[in-house]
Amino acid sequence: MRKDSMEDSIRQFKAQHMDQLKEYREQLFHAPQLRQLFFELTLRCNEQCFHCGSRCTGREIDGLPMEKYQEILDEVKENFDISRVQLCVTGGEPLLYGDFFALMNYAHKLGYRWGMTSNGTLITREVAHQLREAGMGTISISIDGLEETHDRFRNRKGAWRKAMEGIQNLIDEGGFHAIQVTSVMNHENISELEEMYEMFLDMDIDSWRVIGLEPIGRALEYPERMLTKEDQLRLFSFIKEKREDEMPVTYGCSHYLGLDWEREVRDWYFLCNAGIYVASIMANGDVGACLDIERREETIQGNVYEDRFTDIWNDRFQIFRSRLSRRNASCKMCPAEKWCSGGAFHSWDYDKNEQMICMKDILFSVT
Amino acid sequence: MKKAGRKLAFGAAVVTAALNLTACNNRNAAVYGPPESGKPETDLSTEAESVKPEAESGTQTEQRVETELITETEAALTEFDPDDNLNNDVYGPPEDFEMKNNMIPAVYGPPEDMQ
Ligand code: SF4
Ligand code: SF4
Repeated sequence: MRKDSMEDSIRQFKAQHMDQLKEYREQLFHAPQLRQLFFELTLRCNEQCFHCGSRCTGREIDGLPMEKYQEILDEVKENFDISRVQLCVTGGEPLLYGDFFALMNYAHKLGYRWGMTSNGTLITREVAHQLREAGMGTISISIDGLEETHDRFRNRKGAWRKAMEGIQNLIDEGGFHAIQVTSVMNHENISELEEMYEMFLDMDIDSWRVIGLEPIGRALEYPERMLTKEDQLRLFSFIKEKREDEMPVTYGCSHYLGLDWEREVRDWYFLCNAGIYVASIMANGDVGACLDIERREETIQGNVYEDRFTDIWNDRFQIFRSRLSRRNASCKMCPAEKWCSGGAFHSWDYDKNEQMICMKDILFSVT
Repeated sequence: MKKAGRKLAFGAAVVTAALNLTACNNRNAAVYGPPESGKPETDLSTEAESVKPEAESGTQTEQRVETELITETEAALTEFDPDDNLNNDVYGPPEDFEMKNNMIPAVYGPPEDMQ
């Protein structure tokens, strides 16, 4: 088998898989499956990341009272197969939620698998131990560069050191399903990729998720930090190379990347999970799909103080259960549409009805 | 961060699978005959040529090996389950999620005991 025919075969396999996935997506539109339920526990945060999707500003805004979350957990357990649902807690910094451990212990006792995102700075040895006791399976901690860069992006001196200590405390505690580091790369820190890699090589983490800065939340105020086309190519080549080397470096869930990159930089093919697998309960009780999606009338599906979560999931969410591409002429005409479907819901411009991040002409071309 | 013990990039995994199949088939001398001495097993571009036929004509055997390789690899790789196409990285896979169920044996090489 020659190299070029092998490459053709690989592209063929991917095309077949993505065709299957396209059919499957249509089925999911009619029969969605709740697989990830996010709780935005608080908007409070002890950092001020410039790229924060929630625009947390240290505001003293907590999420729902614990009793309300417990009520939702009971209801979801009653109406869904929770062996297939992962509870994902996030913020703000979720550890700042006053009743954090009481709530997570409750979820654990009900049988929920749960994971969280955190800036890591509050994870002392004692907290790591409590997290294990409360049944936390997985955690993703943000490290956005080498020490100086990370602290600058987070507007807090000593943040990097504290976060690295937090990760080490989790590693020392042990017993978690996966400890992941997430890094958001931008035009400034992309030059630190290799050094960051070397740094994480020495740590006993399970994976490193490397994603690009997206034009959402507070990052909109820093257009000069967005990745250039060259930066994007550098990022994807880097991830692919490490994965060829058997290292667990991965891109995130976003964006259709084209035949040559799909399933090379992550384990799965692009399928925006918003509203077909994923739902979120925001700090004010609003219900939506992914938390990074712009919050506005058409994306908010209800509020848990007015309706049951189950009814909202079953009866609404229509906006997420049809192809985004239908709303935009370029997407409709695009040859990649059948696999891309208009891209990620979180990077859709709901005023102009167009995709803000399209990898066409960056990672692939169409004829 | 530890090595996964397998290629995580799909293309590289497929190439490795094909190489492993070639190596296995070539080592089974009773079926395909021994590899030609001095030819690296890992040279994908020459894998069919590295098979030395015993009974059949060279061209026939090469074609048979190549067809079987493609068919085997293809069969394994087309076993894609869209229901398992999950983003497990952020929050980890569900605890009952078996990575091995999401693996395609041929992609990640033959069983270790295969000679
Ligand atoms: S909206 Fe964005 S974050 Fe949510 S599943 Fe889609 S790509 Fe992922
Ligand atoms: S034009 Fe639309 S459908 Fe085509 S690749 Fe871009 S976002 Fe996807």
